[in-house]
Amino acid sequence: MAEILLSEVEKYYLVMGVGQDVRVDGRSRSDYRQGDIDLNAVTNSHGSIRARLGETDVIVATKVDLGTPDPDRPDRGTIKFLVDCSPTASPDFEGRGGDELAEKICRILSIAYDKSGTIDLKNLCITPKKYCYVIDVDILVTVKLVQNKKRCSWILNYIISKVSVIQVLQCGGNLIDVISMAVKLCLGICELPRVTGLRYDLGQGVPVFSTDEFEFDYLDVKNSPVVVTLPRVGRYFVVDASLEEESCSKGKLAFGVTPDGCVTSIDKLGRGCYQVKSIQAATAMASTVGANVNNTINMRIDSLRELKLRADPKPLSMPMDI
Amino acid sequence: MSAGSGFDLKIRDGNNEKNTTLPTAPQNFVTPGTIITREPGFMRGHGTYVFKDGSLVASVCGTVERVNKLVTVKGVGGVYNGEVGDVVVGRIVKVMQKRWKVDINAPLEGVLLLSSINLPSGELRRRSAEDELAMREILKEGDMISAEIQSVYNDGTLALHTRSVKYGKLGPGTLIKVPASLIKRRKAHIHNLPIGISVILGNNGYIWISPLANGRMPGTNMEQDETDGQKPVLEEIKITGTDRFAVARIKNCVAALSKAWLPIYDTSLMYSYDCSMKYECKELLKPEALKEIGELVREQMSTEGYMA
Repeated sequence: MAEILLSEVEKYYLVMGVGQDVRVDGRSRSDYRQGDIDLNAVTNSHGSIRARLGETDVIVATKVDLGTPDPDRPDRGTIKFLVDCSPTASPDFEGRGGDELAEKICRILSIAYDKSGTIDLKNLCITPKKYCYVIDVDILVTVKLVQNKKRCSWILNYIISKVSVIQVLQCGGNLIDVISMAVKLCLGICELPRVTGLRYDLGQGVPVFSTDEFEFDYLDVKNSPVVVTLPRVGRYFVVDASLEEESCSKGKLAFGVTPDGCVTSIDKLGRGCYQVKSIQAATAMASTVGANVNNTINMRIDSLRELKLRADPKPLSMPMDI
Repeated sequence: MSAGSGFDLKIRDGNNEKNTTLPTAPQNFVTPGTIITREPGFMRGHGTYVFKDGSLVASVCGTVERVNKLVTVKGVGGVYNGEVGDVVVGRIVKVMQKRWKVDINAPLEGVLLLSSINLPSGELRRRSAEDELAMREILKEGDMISAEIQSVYNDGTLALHTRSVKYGKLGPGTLIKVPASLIKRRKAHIHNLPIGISVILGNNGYIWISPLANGRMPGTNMEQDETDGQKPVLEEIKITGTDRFAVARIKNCVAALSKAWLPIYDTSLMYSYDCSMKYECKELLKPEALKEIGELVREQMSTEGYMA
């Protein structure tokens, strides 16, 4: 993420403030800022969320496709993540600069969701070894929406495609946190069309999906993790760092945390080294903060599902309004 | 440890976002392209241009002002254009031969000449070659300064000076950026508020909030020879938690005023500070709190008159 130019005196003020638990805007080290969500930012996907927190602005969209399960895991479906960091979010992302960060984020998300118990991928399997749901999660971080190369009807789509793009619209210090929150929300409102039966075509059984728009299942994402990034500023870790705080930090630890405080993954980003005690302290902090955040998100998923049911289904030919 | 207990995600409803409390536009308000007058004989001032058929057209959004034959459009918003005598807060971006380039939120970077600063030791002498080589020890890239605009070059570059004990390198504190047009030109821009915090309202929209007097780093920019020969040490400056909360509260109040598009000066800042006391400092970050403070201050200012 972009590093902004700060004077010594500003850094001194900031770092000493973090030490006294009074950050520049009055928050304590473990306080998040308030964020907001927009439902249905993208109209031709199975579900989309636009999330904003501080300076970060992210759109996530999910598409559900029919695919073949991984040969190593024949009884599970798959969730694929793809992040696109466009140069409009930050000058660091010019050229291939954004790709490195995008890959890192994808990896963090995949690992966090891979642990058994977070999302039951067995529910995504239709026919073992042959057919499964493939959920493509698109994360957008730019102002200009990139693609959605194919206009697919949300009911009949048999092409395996990887158009998941998590696009970053604007980039603040808490990018990964916001992406993970938006991803969880989006997966929570993702509608999986129900399979009504198999159609036998040349001996192969191909799943037939229900044509009723209101016959779908939701994914159970109650236990899926939310990532809490903790940059270290001075000798302490802070939650939801602003751009200035990030510029004063040396390296970050990203923790995937479930609603009951269980840590599913730890990643180190940037340059920095930690003592074991620091990592333990950070884990404890991430665990409490993450559990809180996760529970709030679980409540929001319920309200979003209700909102979606009440809202009229949008026709596919409408232009995307963001 | 509060452990993120205040975390909240609001689901936005598109319809509620409409702003229903916009004040009405004043008379003589024009937008770019509006024809001000077709009559000949008027001199064009800032914010206007002459169209090919001879009519005078506005080039910025703002109010039309006429002084005898001179017609200008005083812009609302827009980029900062400095005038001589303005107090600005800037960040050093380049150290060059005999001058520093300063980012002051203007179309061109400001210039601070080596001859326009007071030497740290307070001596009055001609700058030598050694001074030129030691420039980075005085001010380096990233440092914050408060300065006054000395002159404007032909191309619009602003020349700054810090030849007063009020100006110079700034000490520990924090910066907040607001649109430059919200800061009106007043007699004083450096305020030492009664709550123990000093605020520098730069005309360029950069506001410096600090617990130190005048926002300045002690021990730099002596006007007379009153130094005891020691360089100021950053680590010796201790700032208490109460001061920090006060700085954070002022910072959030500035954000509230900026969001409500209210002019920012010492009275409006103190009004908003008083209104904000019912919230805890970090609760001020919520959009509803900001909005409420903005409305309260607007009400108070309109009843007491803007110049109170």
